[in-house]
Amino acid sequence: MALATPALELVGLRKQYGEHLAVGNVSLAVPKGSLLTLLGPSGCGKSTLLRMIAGFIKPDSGSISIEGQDVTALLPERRPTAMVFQSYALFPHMSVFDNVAFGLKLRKLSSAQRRAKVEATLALVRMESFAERFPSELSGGQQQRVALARCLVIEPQILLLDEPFGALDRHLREEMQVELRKLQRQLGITMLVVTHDQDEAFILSDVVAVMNGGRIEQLATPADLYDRPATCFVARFMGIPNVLPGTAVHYQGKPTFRHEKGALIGLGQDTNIVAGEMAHLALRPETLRLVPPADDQADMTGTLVFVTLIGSRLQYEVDLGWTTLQVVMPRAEQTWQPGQSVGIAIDRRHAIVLSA
Amino acid sequence: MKCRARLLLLPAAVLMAIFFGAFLVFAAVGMLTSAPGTPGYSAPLTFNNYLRFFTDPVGLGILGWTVIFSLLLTAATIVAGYPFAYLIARTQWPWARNLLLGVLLVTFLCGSISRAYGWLILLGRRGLVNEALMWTGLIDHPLALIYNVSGVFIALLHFTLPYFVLTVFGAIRAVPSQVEESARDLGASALRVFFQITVPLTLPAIVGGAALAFSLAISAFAFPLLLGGGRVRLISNYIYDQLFVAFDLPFAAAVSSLFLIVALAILWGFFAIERWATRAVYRRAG
Amino acid sequence: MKHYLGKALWLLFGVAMLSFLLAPVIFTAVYSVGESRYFQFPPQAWSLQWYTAFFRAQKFYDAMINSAILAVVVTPLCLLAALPTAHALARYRFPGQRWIDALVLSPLIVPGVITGVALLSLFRILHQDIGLVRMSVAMMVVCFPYALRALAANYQAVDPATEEAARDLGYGPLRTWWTITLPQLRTGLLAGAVFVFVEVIDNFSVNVFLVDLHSNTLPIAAYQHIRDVDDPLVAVMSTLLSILSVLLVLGFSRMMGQERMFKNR
Repeated sequence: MALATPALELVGLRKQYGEHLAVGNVSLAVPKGSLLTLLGPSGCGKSTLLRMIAGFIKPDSGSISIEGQDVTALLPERRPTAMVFQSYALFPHMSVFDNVAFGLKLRKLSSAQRRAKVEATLALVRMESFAERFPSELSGGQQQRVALARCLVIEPQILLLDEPFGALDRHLREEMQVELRKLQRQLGITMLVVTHDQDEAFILSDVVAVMNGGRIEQLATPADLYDRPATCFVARFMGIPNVLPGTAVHYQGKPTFRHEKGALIGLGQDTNIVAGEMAHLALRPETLRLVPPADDQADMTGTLVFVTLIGSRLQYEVDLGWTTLQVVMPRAEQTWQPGQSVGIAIDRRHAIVLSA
Repeated sequence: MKCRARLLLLPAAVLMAIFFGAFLVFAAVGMLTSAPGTPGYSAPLTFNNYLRFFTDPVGLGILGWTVIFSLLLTAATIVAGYPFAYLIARTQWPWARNLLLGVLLVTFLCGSISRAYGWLILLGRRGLVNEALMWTGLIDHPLALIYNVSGVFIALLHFTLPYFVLTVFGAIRAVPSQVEESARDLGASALRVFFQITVPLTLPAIVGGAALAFSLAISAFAFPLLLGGGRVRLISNYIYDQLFVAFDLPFAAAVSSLFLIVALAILWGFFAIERWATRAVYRRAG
Repeated sequence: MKHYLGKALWLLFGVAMLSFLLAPVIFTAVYSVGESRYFQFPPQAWSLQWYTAFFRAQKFYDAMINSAILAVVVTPLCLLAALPTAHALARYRFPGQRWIDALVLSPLIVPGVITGVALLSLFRILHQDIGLVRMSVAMMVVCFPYALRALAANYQAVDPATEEAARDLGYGPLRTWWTITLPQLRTGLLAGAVFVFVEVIDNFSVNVFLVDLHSNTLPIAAYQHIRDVDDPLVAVMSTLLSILSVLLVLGFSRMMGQERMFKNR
């Protein structure tokens, strides 16, 4: 089976600033035509990594290849990448048309050809009627679309986006995320997006690289990240609220999780654990169920403290005494009231054991 | 990347080399001896010129008097300028603000000779001020407002005010009026708010503006020349005389060096005061 | 009641300050268009004769030429020197940066007389006796900080990301500077040019040490005239300079209005 040359390949990239390791030994391959998101909290190195790919930061070691060609030593103006900056960075003294035409001027095209391309790209981002306006006259969302058009028009091999939707309000953000995804699919262009917003990563990506402290903690599809987080950090970042600290042990011959406060939670028979090792147990709220406390399915009992409606589901907060757990259930099921004694049933197949 | 930065700084480096080179030369020249009565000078190298200044009561007196005069002028600039800057910053009407700023800018750009001359006209024996005062019967004969210290003082104040006001105005505007309003809301009178909130918060700019006003005052040359009538000699005029009346370049250079040291020391003092005051203000805040 | 009294006092203060600031300028202008040789208020008759006399006076004419030459030579050179300096200070980080910042602004602090004497010593050693050359060099050194300050302030408003975006799209560093950075520096260049121009024309304390017999500038000629003669010619010169400065301020605020359109966000 012939392996297609990845659009982007990073091998062993590293960047250190004095005491601080910004990027540590990052390796990554992005297939052509896909959208990969670099996801992580601020300071995790994702923007540094993006800027290394664009050519604004020189890596201490490692290599960057675009479609098989090593670009590590190339200056930004020579690389086949185009970047949408976080501040959009539109040229304030040029009209929208001139902003978009800017990169094209370096290519050998007639003025008519250039005009045709600019207008086509502006139409693609639905900004064709704004061609003569100036950036200061545009809203944030409009500026961002112009910045995107400016990059798309030169048909780069890789499109880089640095927190593109951070400055937009929620409604507009969701709209733009979907639009970007559709555009990417339509054009088949390889994209790399940096964001700290987990929801955004999930909407946009084929693959997500979760970064922390300069390293990639997990590289997986959004679904895999949520169902099978590899580390504690990834689990917490995915928004899984019930991550319990403790130790993996064998109890009565079965794999069991012992919470640091002593409670025991049985795990699935075929769960892989190293007995005696410190671990975390991640219980996704949708895989837990509230049951009557006396029910034999109840793995633990406690008091219901808080109920709130999120979308079409109910979110319950249960105080077990040694910890609080969040349970999410569809609205249709039996309602429980705060103050009631409840039991929680765990679906063993979905309990995830993570190393610390 | 680094060599590019160095290349970019080349023009500045050349200019600074000329500037500081000139200073090195003249500090050295201050050590030469002058041939009396002629513009020439030569070796032997000696510290005589520097010593001469310290033993010369006239020269020292002028330097001391210049420093005192400049400090008084700076004080007057602050007292007149700060409220004016406050007025401009806090006025409710934008047109008033623009007008006042525009007027300040125009005065600023008019040039020193023009303005000194203007005061000469206004304050002269047959000038406007005297005419007006005599017309109202407040005085019998014209006041001697020029060709003495008062004329120089008024004209210099007029000169330093725009510099000070333009420096401080920005800082006052930067204090959100909500801060002052909340102080009033908590019961402080307007005066209290002014002295305990606004002034401390704008202290760095006040000191910066004062330092600027002081530099301008202490360097005053044209104003005492035009309006002093020979009776007001500041240190700059003294140096000029050494050069073009006594033709003694080495002595002039020596006096200039000492003057520069004094001026820089006082300016350094201003910034030390600012650092101390800022710390004092913030320390009290807890 | 107290509130209105306070407001009235502020208004009075404002008017008083305004009058103080404008008085010399206004009355000089009145003097220059009066017919009388001596200052009279109110003037008994109006006349433009002094303006004609001013332009006919050889010494003022020569002085105007000299001042104009200085201004035209020094202003662009100062800006040319300040542009790369401001760029280096704004875009690069290097050790001792605060010292360098203070250093390049130091000519502003040193009293003009001292600068004049120092440069005179230097020129005497170099045997440079031509007044215009000496003053050109002196003005370049003295006015450079004005241009630098104006440009440095402007750089704060230029988003470095726009330069990176141009590089990202394929433009080399020099071309980027020319097409992206420079157009955004309009305000700084204009402000710098105005401050340098005004200072060169107005400078007295430095130039008075460096003139030779043939190269009087306007301020020096004015001083000599005031010292020797009692008539409105210098009032004419002052009024002309005031009008020039008003035009500069008006023109400048017009440019600023346009600049606001270009500001991103």
